[in-house]
Amino acid sequence: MYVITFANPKGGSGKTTSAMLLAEQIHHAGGRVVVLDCDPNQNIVQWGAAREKGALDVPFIIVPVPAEDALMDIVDAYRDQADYLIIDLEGTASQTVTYAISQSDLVLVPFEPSPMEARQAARAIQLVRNTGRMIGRKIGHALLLTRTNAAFQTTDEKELRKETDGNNVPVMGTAIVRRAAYTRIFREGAMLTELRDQAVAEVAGSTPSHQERILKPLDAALQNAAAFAQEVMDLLTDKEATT
Amino acid sequence: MSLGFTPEDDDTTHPKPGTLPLRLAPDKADAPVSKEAVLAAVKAGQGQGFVSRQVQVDAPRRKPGPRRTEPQDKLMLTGPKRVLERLREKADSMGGVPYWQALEALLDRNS
Repeated sequence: MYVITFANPKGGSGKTTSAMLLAEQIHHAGGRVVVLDCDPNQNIVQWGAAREKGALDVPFIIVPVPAEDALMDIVDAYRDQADYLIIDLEGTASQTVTYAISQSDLVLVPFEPSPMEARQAARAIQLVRNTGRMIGRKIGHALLLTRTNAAFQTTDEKELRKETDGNNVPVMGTAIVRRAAYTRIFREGAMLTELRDQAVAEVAGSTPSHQERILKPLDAALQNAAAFAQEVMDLLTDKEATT
Repeated sequence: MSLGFTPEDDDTTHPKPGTLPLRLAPDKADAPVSKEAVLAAVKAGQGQGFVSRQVQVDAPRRKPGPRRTEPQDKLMLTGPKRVLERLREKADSMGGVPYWQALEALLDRNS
């Protein structure tokens, strides 16, 4: 089982959205997924509850993690039931972060490219490296830029990529672009693919330009999520090859 | 009578974006990590500010003092840790009373 953790001590950095996009993509590819929701806001737990309420299938197991020291036992409990265990952490510097990192094959640190967020992301990266040293295991890690602009790269983003290159901090090539579809997932208790299927049904019979206007952003969101998930899989595969 | 025309499939009209199917990572064996090493890492993480955020619901709370019917004052005590620890222990041994009550009891005993 692969354990993938989304960590950043700053809240609102895109951890939950990235975790959900990855979980959905792995599910569609046939992988068995468990998501540990360690955030007290429990957005993923609520997403699952909304689907159950709407008599929709919940495509992966969602587990709320109640206590810091319960995390290790919960990870162990799902080793035989999942191919991928995704941990969505709370946006705070708590020791749950260290527990989760110690169990992980890959830690992704999502953040919006701005100097303030970069400092918090750097703390998370440092913790991953220190934890890896303490437990005597190489823990894969990478920064993941989120809420980026689809049309161009901002100065902050360019500066950040330059600095991380110089400090040997891996940054994922795929960024999670700011997309309305990603917030709709949570608002509507939906999956990305379902949003597109709904949209296709809704635009049936309308003009091609209208269809394009509605479907194009959803297609772009799907392509973004797929590219992100594939890069995560490649990181896991590369890590296995080098350990 | 049907001439054999069928409605166009939605997927043909609106093919899903051209992404390749996700290639999952190969299966792997789990490498166990010792609990001691994890606890040491958690302790080291505390030095970086990644501390416990759990609310200690069962943390002992000192009993509130009697109603403040007389003038109150404050005293900040700085002194050897061992002496202040003894004062804490004394207050605890009296059933978790406020420190001033423990002091009062000690003063009364010695006067």
